Amino acid sequence: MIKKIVLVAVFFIFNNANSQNKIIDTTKYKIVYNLIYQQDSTNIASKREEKMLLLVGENYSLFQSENSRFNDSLVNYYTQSTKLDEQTALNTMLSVKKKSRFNFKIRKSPNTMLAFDKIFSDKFIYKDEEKLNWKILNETKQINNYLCQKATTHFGGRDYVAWFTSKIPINDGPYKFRGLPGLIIKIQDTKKQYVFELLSLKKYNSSFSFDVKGIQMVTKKAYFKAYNDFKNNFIEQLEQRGITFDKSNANQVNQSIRKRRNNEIEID
Amino acid sequence: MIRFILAVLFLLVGKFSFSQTKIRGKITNEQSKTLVGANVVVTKTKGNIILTYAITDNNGLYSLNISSKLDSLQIKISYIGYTKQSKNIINKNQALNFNLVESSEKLKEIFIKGSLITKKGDTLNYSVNAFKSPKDRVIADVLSKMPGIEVLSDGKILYQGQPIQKYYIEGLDLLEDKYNLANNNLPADAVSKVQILENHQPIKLLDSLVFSNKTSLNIKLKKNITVTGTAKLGVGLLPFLWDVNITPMLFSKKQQTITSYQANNVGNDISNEMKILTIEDLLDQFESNNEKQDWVTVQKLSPPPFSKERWLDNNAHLLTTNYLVRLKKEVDLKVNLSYINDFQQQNGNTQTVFFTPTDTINIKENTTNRLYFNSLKSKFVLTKNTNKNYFKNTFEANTYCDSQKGKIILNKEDVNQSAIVPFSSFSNKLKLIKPFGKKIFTIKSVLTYFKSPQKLSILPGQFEDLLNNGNSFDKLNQKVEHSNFYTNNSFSFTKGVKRFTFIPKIGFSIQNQKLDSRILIFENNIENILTNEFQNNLRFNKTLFYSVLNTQYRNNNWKIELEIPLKLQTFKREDNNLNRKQNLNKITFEPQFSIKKDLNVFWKTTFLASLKNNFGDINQLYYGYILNNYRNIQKYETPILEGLRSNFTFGISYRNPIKSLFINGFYSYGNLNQNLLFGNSINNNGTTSFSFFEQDNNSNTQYINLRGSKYFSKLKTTLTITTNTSVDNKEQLLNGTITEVTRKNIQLKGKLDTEITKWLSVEYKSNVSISNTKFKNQQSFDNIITQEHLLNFNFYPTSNQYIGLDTEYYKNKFSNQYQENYFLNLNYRYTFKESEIDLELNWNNILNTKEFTTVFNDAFSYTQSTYRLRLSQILLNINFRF
Repeated sequence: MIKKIVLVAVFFIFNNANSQNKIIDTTKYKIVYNLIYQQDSTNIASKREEKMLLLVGENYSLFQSENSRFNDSLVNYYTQSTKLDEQTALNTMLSVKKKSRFNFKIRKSPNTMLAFDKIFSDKFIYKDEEKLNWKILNETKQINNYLCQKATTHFGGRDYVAWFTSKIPINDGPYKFRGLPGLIIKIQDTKKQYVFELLSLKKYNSSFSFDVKGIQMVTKKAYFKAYNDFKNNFIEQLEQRGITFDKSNANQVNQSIRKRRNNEIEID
Repeated sequence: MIRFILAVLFLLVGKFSFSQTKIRGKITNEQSKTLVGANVVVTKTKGNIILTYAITDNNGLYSLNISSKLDSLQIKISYIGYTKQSKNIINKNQALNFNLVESSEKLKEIFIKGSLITKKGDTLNYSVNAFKSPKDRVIADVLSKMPGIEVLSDGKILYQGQPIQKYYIEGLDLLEDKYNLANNNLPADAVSKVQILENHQPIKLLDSLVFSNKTSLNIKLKKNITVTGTAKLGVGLLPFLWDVNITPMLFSKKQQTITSYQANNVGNDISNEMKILTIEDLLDQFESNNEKQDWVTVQKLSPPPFSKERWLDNNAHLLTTNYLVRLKKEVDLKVNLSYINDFQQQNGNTQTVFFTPTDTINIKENTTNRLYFNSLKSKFVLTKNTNKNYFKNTFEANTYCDSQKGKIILNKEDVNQSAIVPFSSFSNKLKLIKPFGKKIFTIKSVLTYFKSPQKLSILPGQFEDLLNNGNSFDKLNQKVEHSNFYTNNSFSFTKGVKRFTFIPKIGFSIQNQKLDSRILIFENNIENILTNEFQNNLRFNKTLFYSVLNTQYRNNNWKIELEIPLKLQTFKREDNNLNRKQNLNKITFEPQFSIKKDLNVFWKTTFLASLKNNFGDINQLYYGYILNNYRNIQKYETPILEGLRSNFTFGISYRNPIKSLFINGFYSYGNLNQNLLFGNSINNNGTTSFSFFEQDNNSNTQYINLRGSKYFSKLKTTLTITTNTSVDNKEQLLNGTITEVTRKNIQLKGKLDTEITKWLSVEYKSNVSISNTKFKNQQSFDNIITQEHLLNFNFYPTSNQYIGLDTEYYKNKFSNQYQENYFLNLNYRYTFKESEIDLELNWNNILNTKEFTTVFNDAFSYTQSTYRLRLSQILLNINFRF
């Protein structure tokens, strides 16, 4: 199954290479979170880790996995900074590219949130207008020498507990979480199936881009419906896209895909 | 009383309004610019616990609701890049504006040591194990399930619909084009990873310069040295059936060997194992011009259009060994040797009706053929692949000793045929890539030679009128000796300028062919060699000088490619005995052009246009008669065929994954202008003579393909519909009359996949095709309608059991006649989980369908052909690995 995801990642890279990224902001800080997530809700041993990045810029912040960001920058490097033609560039990129389970990119500005994600090789952008209702509690604790205060919220079918510090006046956090008066140092759902923890924060002068041109804009609902259809009928969906398979295994493949992806971060 | 209540209410309201304090304000910087997203928090005057907070909006405004009863509080304002401010305030409704001062002070960096990052999981995630299902034994099984990868029934691997370029094991290319030897034998368990190298450039030197849009595949093994292999033993009854395959393999980083012995009589076509598989190799072969060509043959039967295992009556043995060694760093030597012995039988009936403008001729044949195949092939490949240069030399020597025996009962008379069709060839191919300055040069050189002395004997003699003044005779022999020398040498380089890539190429080729043939007739044991027009002593020489410029351009939405070849061609054709000759000199210009454009996120378009010349080859150029099979004798006295083909294709595709709807279609138009007109004449006994006549003529083909696919999520069903429509128009000479022939074909394919439960899925496929042929000014022939319906049920009762039930229905309809065929096959597999031994029971052709009949027509004939199938058979297989 994961092979498929590898290939999905390959497509991901390829598609990205077709667009020339326009710089939208310059970053000031790079914040790294470690994410521990459980792939299969029924199997506690299916926990995996991945490093996630929060780039804080002048007007926007961008959240994505460290590996997918690395892959993006490879694409930029090869398609813009060298004289290589695209295919050669891709060829070279493939040998160095990294794997990521998460293709999404989340662009937050004080009043908007845009999410970029993919279904197989197709790219989508949707607006996420869901407001987070934070409840601030009086509980505090020291995390990595920062005094953190507890807050709770409900999002995407899960209840979360967050620890934030007002010592770092960045009212942002991992994934779609934000809006606390200080950086979120740690946030986890109450079942501990998605746990984000701050690893590092440093000054970082770079630029980032978030292309909307040429990408289909859909509603959040439509995106998740299409994603679930894809996930639940993997083989048939790929066949629709013109790829053929030996059908005698389709059933097993479909079932194991479902099992591996039965525990997305947003479940409702 | 009422006053009292009012008073209480007033007090209560007052109390509420006191406990809920509202503070509003605006946050700006020194330049009075509003700060959006600034943090405003309220704490006790001492301590850090935040009681309430706000974040400034687009206008820099904030609004706090404080429910604390404390008299005084502290308000703190923070914003990245600004100095924090705090102020003690009285807990009352008020407006408070703040002016923040920019600060050069940065946030303190954080780096947490002893982080939770470990490498666990990631590599495991990508193991083949995670991907394979219990049913899978060899790597091909797993590959066929990977998205984008398709394993065709002949073993060819496609990625995204395109054949893969290379099949590596640990980065070594052991089997080259015969990769399905490994693919079908390497146990899935020995493999840790399968890597898809898309746009892979197998030549290291070119890595940074030229693109390749081909994909390669790399198999990563679990251990450094892997000795493995598979064995399959199958037996069946009535008649005694066997299917054996023993394939030991050794893989290490520096040496790899794979040897395979296979034998079966169950209809498994062993020569598939030897098949040439990659497009690159097919092109090379075409270029090197050394493919086996049979000049004479026994009359064969046309095989049914479904899996060979249903009809191939064989007895085959294959021994093959492949050895690859890394001589030193980046230098590889590869040796492939293989021997095939196969005996195949064909049985069937053919009824052919020839239509001529004046008459119809009816022939009935009952055919029994015995085909013997013997071949020995060897190949030596030396490769040097470094970042500085690339060198590859391939030497091949192949020998075939094939023979055929055929017996035909033709209208109650026996015709015995015997053909000996040996063939031996040598070839050497050299490819050298070297940089000179900033440019990369590619030199290619091909040299081939083959010889093929072939013979056909027919008993009794045929074509009495032509060969023996109308007197019957005992035996007819045709001898043909064809030899060919060919060389092609080219030189090219690549240059990139911004978004353009230019690849100029120059080269030349020489081909010298000899064709000698004799016809012998035997009467009362007296041999008589026919002379003059029954002999060939043909010499056919071609030389070609060419230069090609390939230009590619790419940007965001556009991809444009233009190829401009200019060729100078010389043909010399001479038969001294017959005193005939022809010389032809031509300069040809054959541009090719393609554009791809993405219109928007849903629509993509492509356009292709090309112009191409083609010239007749030696098999259409001999002046004297050659008997190809017992009912076809011909000669070509016409000039060299010259054709100009132009072709246009337009394609458009729509993708909407949100609606699970995918549609694509293309239209193509091709036009061919030739100096020769194809014709045939049919003799009274049904023998035909095909020939060409000097007459400029035009033919065209139109083709439309449409495909749509939609997923219905509520029904868990995918529906795919494809249609193909083609219309051909051409002129033909039929028994002396030029006639315009129109041929139409419409094909409709449907496919429905449904998952009914987790343990049962159903697949239905159908294919209906209607074809029609019409001569101008005549009534068209009746439509031929063929139908194919397949309904497959897959059951998974437990995780180690699989039951497949396949049903097939075929129908052919022509005029009022039709043939129907039903097939039913059952497969059962049981896996002993611990030992990983598979037990497989296949019951093929349960209904015991004995023969298969197909009907087809062309411009001048209608053929009904019946092929004897393999009878119902049960085969028990054991698969295991060692």
